[in-house]
Amino acid sequence: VTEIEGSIPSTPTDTMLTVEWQGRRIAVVTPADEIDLGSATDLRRELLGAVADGAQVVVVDMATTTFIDSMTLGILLGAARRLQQRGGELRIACVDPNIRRIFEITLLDRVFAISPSLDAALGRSATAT
Amino acid sequence: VTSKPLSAVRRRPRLLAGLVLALAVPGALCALAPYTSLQGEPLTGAPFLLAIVVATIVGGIVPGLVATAASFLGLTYFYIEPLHTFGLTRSNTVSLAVWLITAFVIAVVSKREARAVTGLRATRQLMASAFGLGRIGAWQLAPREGSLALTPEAESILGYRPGHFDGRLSTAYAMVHPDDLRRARAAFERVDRGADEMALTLRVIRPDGETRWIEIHGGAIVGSEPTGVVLAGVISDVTDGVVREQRQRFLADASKVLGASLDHADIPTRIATLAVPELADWCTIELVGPERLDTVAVQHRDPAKLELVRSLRRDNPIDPASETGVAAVVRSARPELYTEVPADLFVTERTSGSELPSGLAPRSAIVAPLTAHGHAIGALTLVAEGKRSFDEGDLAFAEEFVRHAAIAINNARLLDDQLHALAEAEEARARTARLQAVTEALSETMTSTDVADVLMREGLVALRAQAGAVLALSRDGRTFESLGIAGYPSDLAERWTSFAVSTDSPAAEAVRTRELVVVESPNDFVARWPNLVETQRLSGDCATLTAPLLVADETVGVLHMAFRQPRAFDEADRSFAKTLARQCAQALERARLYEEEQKAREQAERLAGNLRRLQTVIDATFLTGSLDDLLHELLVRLRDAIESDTATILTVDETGEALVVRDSVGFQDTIETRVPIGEGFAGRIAATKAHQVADDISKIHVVSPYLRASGMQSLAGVPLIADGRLVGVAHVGSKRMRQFDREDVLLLRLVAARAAIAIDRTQVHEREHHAAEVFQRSLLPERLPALDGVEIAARYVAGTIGYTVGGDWYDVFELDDGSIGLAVGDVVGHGVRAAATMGRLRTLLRAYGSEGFGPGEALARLNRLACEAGDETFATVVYALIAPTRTRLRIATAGHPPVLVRGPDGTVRAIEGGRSLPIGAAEGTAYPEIELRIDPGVTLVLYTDGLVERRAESIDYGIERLMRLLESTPGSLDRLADRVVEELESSDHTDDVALLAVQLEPLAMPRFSLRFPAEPRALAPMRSSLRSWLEGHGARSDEIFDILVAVNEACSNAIEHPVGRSHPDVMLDAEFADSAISIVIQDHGRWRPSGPRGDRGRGLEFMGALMESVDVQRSDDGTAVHLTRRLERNP
Repeated sequence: VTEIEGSIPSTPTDTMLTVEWQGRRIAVVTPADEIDLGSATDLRRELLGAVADGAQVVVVDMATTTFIDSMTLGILLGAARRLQQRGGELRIACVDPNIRRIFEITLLDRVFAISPSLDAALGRSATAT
Repeated sequence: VTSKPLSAVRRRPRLLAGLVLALAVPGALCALAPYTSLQGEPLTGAPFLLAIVVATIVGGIVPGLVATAASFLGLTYFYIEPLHTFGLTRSNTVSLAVWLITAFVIAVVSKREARAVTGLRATRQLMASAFGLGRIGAWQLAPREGSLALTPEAESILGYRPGHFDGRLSTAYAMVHPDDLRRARAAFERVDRGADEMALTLRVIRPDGETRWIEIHGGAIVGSEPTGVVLAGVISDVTDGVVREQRQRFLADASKVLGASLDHADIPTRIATLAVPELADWCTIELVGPERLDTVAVQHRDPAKLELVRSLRRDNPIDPASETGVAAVVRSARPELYTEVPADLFVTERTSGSELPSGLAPRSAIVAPLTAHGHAIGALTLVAEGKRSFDEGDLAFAEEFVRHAAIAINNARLLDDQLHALAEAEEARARTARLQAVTEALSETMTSTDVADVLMREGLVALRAQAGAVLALSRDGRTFESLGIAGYPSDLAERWTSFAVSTDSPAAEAVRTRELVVVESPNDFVARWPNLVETQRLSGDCATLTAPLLVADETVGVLHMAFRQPRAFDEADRSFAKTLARQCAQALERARLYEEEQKAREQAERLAGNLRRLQTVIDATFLTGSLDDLLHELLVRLRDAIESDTATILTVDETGEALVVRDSVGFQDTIETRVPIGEGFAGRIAATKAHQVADDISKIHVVSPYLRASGMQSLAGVPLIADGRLVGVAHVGSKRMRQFDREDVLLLRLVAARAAIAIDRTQVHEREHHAAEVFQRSLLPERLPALDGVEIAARYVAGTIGYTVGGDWYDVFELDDGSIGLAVGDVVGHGVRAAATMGRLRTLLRAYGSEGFGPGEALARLNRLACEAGDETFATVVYALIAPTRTRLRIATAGHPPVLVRGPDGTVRAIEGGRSLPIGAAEGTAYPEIELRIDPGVTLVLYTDGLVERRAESIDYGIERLMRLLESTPGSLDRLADRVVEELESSDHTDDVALLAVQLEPLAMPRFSLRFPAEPRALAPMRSSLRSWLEGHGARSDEIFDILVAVNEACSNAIEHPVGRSHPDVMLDAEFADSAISIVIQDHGRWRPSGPRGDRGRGLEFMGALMESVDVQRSDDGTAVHLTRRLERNP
């Protein structure tokens, strides 16, 4: 018997999404475990919000994320574009091989800086800063 | 006695004669002096001297002196010369003195002579005056010649006709009574030897045989030489005088003898002894007795014949009506003289033909009455035999004697009476003292046993009884119960501890007659109570007094006193016994009141104590909820309190027409009896709804064979009534005859009231419990669905508190997609309402499940409804959703204990995730889920807290214990469930318990079909379900991810893009065939063409990248996306 990682939200709308600021320029966004049609809009709102709030670097911590859909990719791309426009950067912390594979298939792994962990993502960011 | 006056009379003539002589003789001599010539002085004095002597002898000393004086004067004047002139010279003074001395000497000498002569003369005169001068004769005896001359008078005295006495002295001596002979000879010889005179009284036996007393006086006469001394004298017959004198002496002696004795029993014997032989040859004394004349003494001169006299009297009872003899004398109080005894004087019994006994020859008899105060108290019969015959003198003397005797008898009687009275007074005083002692001792008694003890100790002594008993009469008056018993052998005493009044006995008679029952002899006893012969023999009672104990006209018992000797009880004895009984009764009454008071207090205290205990029992039992325990405790307490042998409670059975024994104590076996209402003891109580008391059940009809079989004697019972409705009967039984009293019934009622309430409440509870249980059972799944890949065991165990049902439930249902919903819940509260709430929650949960809501959402909705309802619904629920493939499980928990999971290796763990607040606790509560991947052979256990909650024990401990139990119980699910329930029931569980055990086996599902609402939130469950299905087909994780992403894209499109949707649902159908998965996603709308900005534009790319083929078919009905993917099967 294995407990499937993370618990399923009692309702799809009840996202576990959180935003955490590391200083004034770095925001860490943790999306829901499964990002689909129901939860994607929340993610978009938060990411754009963070960018609007002046984040130079936004880290999407997908450590617990088990599912993403195409819309998720679109949202991440949109956010990355906006950050790039102001010289910022979107980084992704992700270890799930399936999700990483999605990024690879869609060649987005070349667009986003994908780290195996949040620390790595931030560290790299820190060294970059 | 008469001698003194006689001699006094005689002395005066003698003195006178002496004085005449003293003056006359000297006077005459002096007158003759001038004419006589006296020669010489001596001669001259001689006549004067003679005159003096004679005067002295005749008249005594005074005439002698007078004569001397006269002679001196005459001599000196007329005969002595110088004295003619009467001048006193010395010579004539000396002469006078000589004369005086001479005269004095003469006087003294003659005085002595004169006295003797006077005495003799007086005797003769006395005899002569009394018996006639003719009885004196004279005699002359010449001892030398042996001749005795008698005058004719003397001959007559000696019984000879004149001239017939032979004149011989020897003849005379021969006549002398032998006893007097020696005395006679001695007297004569004394005279012969020179004594002056003789006086002798002696008996002579005359020729005719008669004995006479004669008196002989005489003296010696100087006779002529040849005859020697001659004696002469007189002889007289003094028989009468001697006899009289003897009788006087006898009477004096008799008075002395009789006076010396005060014993009235002894007196007659003494009288008889005095009378014989002095007065008679034999005699009898009769005294007037209560019934007849009793011969109290007999005497005979010959002791050998005494018995003859006695038998004569015995054989010839005195006829009171007889005209002769004792009877007549006693009647008339006058003496009778029978010179010749008549034939019928002694022999009255003619029929016997008996004559006088040969040894008795009564000749004459005197019967003299013994009188006292003018009444004859008896008679003395004197009998003379042989030649002796009574005459009037004898009669007079007998009268005189009888007078003395009567006085003696009377005195003795009086004394005896006085002594008797004294003794009685003393006895009365002693009794009073004893009675006081008893009274005093009784006053200190407290209990009836004490009273009995005192009576047996002091009372018996007071009455001088040797044995006794105090018997109390039972309240119903049918039995005696011994309070105290003394002086009887133990086996008898044992027998008398209790016996029936109906048995004839002195005690029973005393109770019946309310009078003292007196028995004075064993024969009397046996005659009156032939049935008690044996008892009499054993007890040794010879006389008894049995007094009823009366208290205010009520007989409460008897006082029995027994004596080992026959006794005549006098009035004092009887009244003493009655007094004793009265005191005993009073003391018993007092003791009874005291005991009753004591008993009442004890009973009240005991009752209070019992009620307290009963109350405790009731409270405790209501808490633990066992009516059986309560009733049993009640019965035990009841039996103890009422001191009965048994106590039983019967309740009305379901038919309402009979009573059945619910419980009993005191019987050897468990009793099972059905008593129709209206029949038997309990049945009648039930029918009348009134208490009943049966002192003796042998007299009534009883249904139960146990009652008689167990030797029950008395019963008391009351109905059990609750709210005016008969619920049963309670009764108590005693194996000894007993009267259950008011207090007993009262206590019985108190207990009955409590039992009735308890039974009624329980019946209400049972009814409610039954209804609730039926209701609850109706809400629980009737049978569990047969589901592929799922083995289920479910148990529901009702709680034990208050006979209510709880709100626990379990539910198992299959959803459209093949998922299985498992629910276990517990509504807080009990009874029908809780069951109803449970039913509602259960239905709702099922509905939410069916609608496709996952466990968390379903519970959240449940909570929202519960909170909105505002009916304070409060419940804990666990809802688990098993994926159709049985490989995954989602659980959400609302305040419920954790689900336990036992792995295939037997290890058990509790699922701590996915837990939140109970339903109804707080509005808006979120209910997270936990999802588990299930390996084959895993067992899930869902349960309510009743299974793990124990009083005074942490629930964690209970969970731990359950886990240990699961670990140690391999085997089938049913066995596991049974084992858990078994364990539960052996504990003190109180709440109800629902248990659901599920074992999952992966299910190979060839097809997957899901219909879900075209809403974003439905995507996650869809993916979960599909994932399970895919996993069931052995898809790899990456393959599953790819397929899910692709399907999700298609579904997202169906949700997001359709325009003008006619049906809100999306249909997903998947099929596994030939190692390939083919999936069709069908909606009922037209997809919006992907716009330039749409993030969704990548959907098709995705699908194409992840799947082997993607085919989108658009039609008017909607859009269908076909996806296929070959699976790289796991080796």
